This record gives sequence, C-alpha cells and structure tokens, in this order.
Amino acid sequence: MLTLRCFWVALGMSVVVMLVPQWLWLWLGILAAAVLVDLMACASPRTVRVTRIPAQPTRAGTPITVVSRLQNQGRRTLRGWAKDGWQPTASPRQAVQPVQLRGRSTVELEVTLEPQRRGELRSEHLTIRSLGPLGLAGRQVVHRVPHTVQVLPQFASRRHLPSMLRRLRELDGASAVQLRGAGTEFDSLRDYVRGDDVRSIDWRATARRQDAAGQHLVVRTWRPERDRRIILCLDSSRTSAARIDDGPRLDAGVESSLLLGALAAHAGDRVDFLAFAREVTARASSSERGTFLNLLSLAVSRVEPTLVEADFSQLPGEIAALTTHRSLVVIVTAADSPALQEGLLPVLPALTSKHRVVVASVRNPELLQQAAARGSVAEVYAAAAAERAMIEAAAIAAELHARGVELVEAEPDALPAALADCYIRLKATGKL
Amino acid sequence: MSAQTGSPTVAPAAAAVRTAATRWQFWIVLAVVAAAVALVAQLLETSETEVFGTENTDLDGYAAVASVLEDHGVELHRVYSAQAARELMEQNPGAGVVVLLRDIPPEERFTDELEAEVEAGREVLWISAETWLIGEVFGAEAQAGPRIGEGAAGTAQVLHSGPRCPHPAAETASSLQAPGGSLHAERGCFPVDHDSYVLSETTHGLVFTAPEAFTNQHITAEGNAALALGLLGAAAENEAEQTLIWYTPSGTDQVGAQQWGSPLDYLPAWFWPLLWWLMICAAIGLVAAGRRYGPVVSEPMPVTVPAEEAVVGRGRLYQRANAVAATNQVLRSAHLLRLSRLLGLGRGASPEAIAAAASHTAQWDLDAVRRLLEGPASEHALSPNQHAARPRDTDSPSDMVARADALAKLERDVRDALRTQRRTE
Repeated sequence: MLTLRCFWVALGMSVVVMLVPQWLWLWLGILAAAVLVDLMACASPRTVRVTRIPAQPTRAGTPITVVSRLQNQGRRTLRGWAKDGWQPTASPRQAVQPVQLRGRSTVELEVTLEPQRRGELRSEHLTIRSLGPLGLAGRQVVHRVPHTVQVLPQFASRRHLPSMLRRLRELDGASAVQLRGAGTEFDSLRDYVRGDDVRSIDWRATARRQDAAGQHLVVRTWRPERDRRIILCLDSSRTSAARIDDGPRLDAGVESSLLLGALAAHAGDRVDFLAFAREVTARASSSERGTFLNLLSLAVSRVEPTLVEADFSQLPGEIAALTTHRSLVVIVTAADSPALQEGLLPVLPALTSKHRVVVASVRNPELLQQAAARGSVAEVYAAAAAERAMIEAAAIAAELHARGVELVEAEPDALPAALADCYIRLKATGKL
Repeated sequence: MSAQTGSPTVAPAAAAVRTAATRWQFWIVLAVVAAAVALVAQLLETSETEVFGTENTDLDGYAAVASVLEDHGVELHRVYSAQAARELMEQNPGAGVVVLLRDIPPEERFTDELEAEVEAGREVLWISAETWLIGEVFGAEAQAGPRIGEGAAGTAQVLHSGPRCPHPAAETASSLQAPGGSLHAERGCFPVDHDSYVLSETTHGLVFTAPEAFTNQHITAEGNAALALGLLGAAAENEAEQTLIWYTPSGTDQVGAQQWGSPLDYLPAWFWPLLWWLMICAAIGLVAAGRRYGPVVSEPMPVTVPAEEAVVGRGRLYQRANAVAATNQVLRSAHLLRLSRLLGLGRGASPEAIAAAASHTAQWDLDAVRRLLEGPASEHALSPNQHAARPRDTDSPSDMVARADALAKLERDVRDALRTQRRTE
C-alpha cells in the first residue's frame, strides 16, 4: 500500500530526474528502496486484537460515542490510521482516525455517531492501516469484528406526555371530581371541601369521625379504573411503507404507539404491544421487568415495513392468547386502504364482541391538496381521483363506525396526540 | 481480562494468503492456464507478416524459397540498414547480395558502392516491382517499361526467356508467370515488349521486376521455382560457404540520408527520462488514491412507497380514457357529501335538498346550483323507466374544468357564508 506522501515525494524527485536524467535508474532504485524499507519496518496490523465495547441503545438524533479497544500484541509501535466501518446513516463524525499503538499496549478508539434513523446500526469491520517510519508505504488489514448499536425511535411526541399525564391526574380521585362516571373504583375517604359533590358524602364514615373537634363531613373519592388492559397492534405490512410527507406511515404509527404506551403505563394500565404483518414481528409487555417505555422503544425500533399483505385473521387469536379480559384493542393501520375491506373488516366482529376496538390511521394531507387543485384538465382528473379515494376512505370509516369501532384519523404529526386524547376520553367516560 | 490474553482478531499473514488462494483457486488456475496457452501460442507462432519476408508463410511470403535454399546449405542474412549490409559484405567478401526494394530507396552511397562491387565481380540481384523506384535509384540507365499483361482470367501472361537471354538460370527456367513490371534495357530475359525485360542486366547488377513470382503463392507456376533457385543459388554460390545477404532498405537509413530530422530528436536529454518518471508518479498517485479503507460499506435501505401513487395513477387513467362523465360524477358526489355535512343535512339528504340549501346559504341562483350539483344523470332519474340510462359524455374537457371550478367556488362560498353566519350569531 502506497501513501499520497509517496506520490508527492516522487513528484518532488522529478526535479532531480530533470537535472541528472542519465541516473534515472538510480533515482528509481532509491524510491523503491525507501518504499521497501517502509514496508519492512512498519508494525504488522495483523498483530492487533480488536475488541468492541457493547454500546447502550440511543435515540435517533442523539449522538452516542462508541468505543473499540485496540490491543497491539506485537513489539513494534504501530503508527497509522484506523477506520471504523459504520454504515452511512450512523453518520460517524471521525470514522478515520490516526492511531499510535506502542508495542504491547492498548488504545481505545472512540467514534461519535449521530444516528439518523431507528433500527440496528452496524459496523462490520475495523480497518487498520500501519505506516512505515518514512510514511511512504504501509500495510493494511481489515478486522472483521462487528459492532452494533440499537437506535430507538425519536419519540418526538414525548412533549405531549406531561400535559396528557396532567389530564390523567385530573381524572384521578385525588382532586375533586365533579364528573359522574369519572371513575367507578373506590379510592379513599377524605374531609369534605367546598365544591365537592354532596352525593359523594359517606354518612357512615362521617358518623364514625365525630370527635371533640367538631363536625367533619367525610367524602368518598373515586378514581378511574386501574389495571385495565391495553393491546397495541401495529400494522407493518405494505400499506405502512407508504411515504406520507417525509416519513413512512409506519413512523407515525411508531410514535403513536410510544405515546399511548407510555401514557397507559403511567396510568397504571397493563399494556401489551405487538407488531405484525404476515406474523407477529415484535412484542413488548408492561408486565415484563424494566421500564415499559424502554422495552417498547427497543421492540419498536426493530420494526420495518415489509412489502406483504397484512394478515388480520391472526389478531383475535393473538389477543386471546394475551388476555381473556375485556380490553382496549388499538389497531394502528391504514384505514383508507381498500384492502382493509377484505383484511380487517371480517375479523372485527370477533374483536368487538369482547373488546373495545380503536383503529388509528394516518390521513394523507396531499389528497386534500390534490382534490383542491382545479387549474387544468390534468389537475381536474387528478382531483377527481383524489376525491374518489376520499369517498372510499369515508365509506370505510362509516363501515367501521357502524361496527362500533372508534376511528382516529389524523395527519402524521397529529396522530399520536389524537390517539392519546381518544384514550383519555375513553378512560374519563369509564368505557375501558 | 480476556482481551489481554486473546489472540489477534485477524488470521496471520500466511493463513490469510492460504485463505485467499483457496477462495480465488478457480481464477488463479484459469489465469495460469490462459498464460500457458498464450505462451505456447507465442512460441508456435513463427511466421512473420512482412511482405516478401523470408519467414513469412502467408501467400505473399518467401518462406518456401528460403527453406529450399537453406536445405541446400545457403545461409541467409537479413539486414534492414545499409550499414549492416556493408559490415556483412566486409565479413563475407564472396557473398551474394539481394536488394529487395519495396517503397523505400536504399542509401545513395550504398548504391554506388554496390556498383563498384558488381564491377569487382560480386553477384548483386535487385528485386522490386516498383520500376519507377529503380529508375530513380539507377538514374538514366534504367527506364520503367510496360507492365506484364494479363490473360483472360485475370492471371498474368506467361513469359518466355527469349532469344537474347544471357543468364543460364533464365534459360533453364524458360518460362515465367507472375504479375510485375519491366525495364527498358539492351539485354535481358523474359521480354514484355521488344526492348523491355523482366530480368535485365544493368551496371548495378541483375534486376528482377516481378517479385510476385517467388512468393509462396506463385512459386509453383511455370518455371518460377527454377528461376528463383537458379538466380538466388547462383548469387550465393561463389565460395565454399554459401552466403546470401538479404538487404531490405527501411526507414533506418532514411534519417541520415536525407537532411531532415524528427522534432523529437531536438528535445533536451532529460525529456524522455522525465516523461517516464512522471508516468511512474502517476501510477503511484493512482495506487495511493485508489486504496480504500476496507470494503465498501452498504446501507440497508427501508422500503417506502409514495402514498399518492395509486391516486395519481387513477387520475392518469381517467385522463387517458377522457372519462369526462365519470370525473364529473365523482366530483359532484364528493361535493354533495361535503355540502350535506357542512349544511347539517344528514347522510340521506337528496341532491335537490342539498342544492336548495346551498343556493340559499351561498346566495347563488338555484337553477345554476341545481345544474351544477344534479348533472345530466338527474334528468334521467327524474323521468320514469329510465333508471338504466348512463350519463353521456356531453361535456368537453374545458367545460369540465369550468364545472369543477364552479363546484369548488360554491363550496367555498357556502363555507364563508356559514362562517360569517356563525360569527354574527
């Protein structure tokens, strides 16, 4: 392996060649000898042992530093360059770094990654280039030691979480609840404060509390039901590969699942997640050990759209295997797809008979723009096509409503919040 | 720590070479076989391609004649420059000289020297079909004569040695058949005309102007072979060792003989070494810049499909089919649905009711709104027994655009009216 320095040196030597042209072979010999000396004198990159230090999962867009340990087992000092072969979307900041490894010593090679998309990022190899003392030539060897970093989804809708949690707490019996049906589960007894519903005064407890201090009215507090079951089903079939605005439909589904899952887990519900296309491709459950949001992020980060038709017929079986209780089944899919008529609609009765079903779907904002453009003949034809697609989607929505299914439709950015709102509304009205 | 005691993460060099050899086994074997085949072919390939070359086995070569001569112990020395020929002539004083002229004249001084040698008794044979060139070289002595005539089938005419033929080889051969030219001369063999001969005697030696006769193609015709062996054998047969100097003038004599030189000769001494050196530099630069840090890293891309693909495709299908009626109907029903939702008329409202409500809200003319919203189909629907009637494509595309625009405007007006109404309430 020759270096660019070798090229510049050779170019510089052309002056000598011009001055004493009859010694061409001598000059060539000198250059070849220098290269040979470098080749023989450089430390062998084969005597290096590469160890990859396991990296923690990170979120897309959050920089992470990954470390590889290089251990020189030879006696000579290795001078040169090392390149960590991270894939392009990992955006490594200093993939190629100078290294200096004394004989029988260890050095840690740090590379900062800025992952641009979720999933498993890989570096299949680490290349070590060892240069000779003159820097004219060297040896290069590829160490095939893989390194992986799990990149979790960005979870941009996390900013909605505090306000959603506050609304959940307001539902909680801890604050004065005026709404009938805000909860049906008995929570605790406390002193009456002005503004409480007089119907919630517990006369028996009030009688028991009579003491020297005087009269104290005691009210019962209620809280929304806990330990309800939420089952999140994320469709990762071909319809989820459709690109709306900037990202695939699946990304909006992932965000919605994360927000709803985090919210429901905070609210004390038991959440199960499954992603499916032909079969179930990822699972997570809040009953497992660890923070549910992390578990869910890990599971979701591996879900990629596949170009196959979704198999909805397995959903009732999968859900039955998870729970026998009545639960909230959220299906994140594309409700405007005509394929839904053959896929989801036939299995709905089996689900709605036992569970409350919510279908969440991304609406395509481009359809509206296309339907509104009426400038030329071609635009009018395209507008008619868009109108027709919207009529069909509306027909499917009507059919879903008729079967008692709640449909949440929103544009990609708004879908997570819309789905979470729907969940809070259902919880507030005690419909879980 | 296990990392401290572990072995390196790549195989040692010897093992790596072995692995590479195993992996590339097929190609290495293939390359070796190809190299061997090429080498064998190169070794077996002996023939040259020079016209009238003594080792050329093609139709225009002299290989047949040369091999027969060699069988008889004649030694052929081929030279391409006058200087080399001169040196050989000094070494072999009795050797015969054959000058094969193609289109380059021999060195002038050498021609004069040959003339002296002929006088001294050396056998010199000039062979050339270019009679004009011989005329130039010999001056006034040799003038180009007519070319040998052609027979009926395009083959050359058969020539006979003629009565005034002084050369025994020509008399032995007695006849000749090959294309070629002739020279005007006083004496000679194989007359083409009354005073022009194919084999003529000059002060520079014998001149034979039909070299085609000795090629592998024509050597077997008539007395060609006897003439060739007679002429060349006689030229060689002067001494105990039979030697023939075969001189073909080439560009090597040219530069010195004529007073111009190539511009390359005037370049400074360092030019060519520097050029070579820069080429070496370029090679080093290519190798250095072309060396990658390890294999190419690929990116597994996720699948994405543009969401509006199906809709855009359907729009194009409408356009290709000029589906004006269908387009009108789709647009109408879409606006009817939206207007009924906007005006709060419920799902089952009839088009007439929607039209009436819309015209009232937007302050549009009722007939115009009905024409817009009900379309041609409604006229049929109103009349009984016409339920099978299909909408006709009465509109032109430009009408359709106007209609679509009007529908959009109606909806906008209804929306605006409702908004102001809500604000005033």
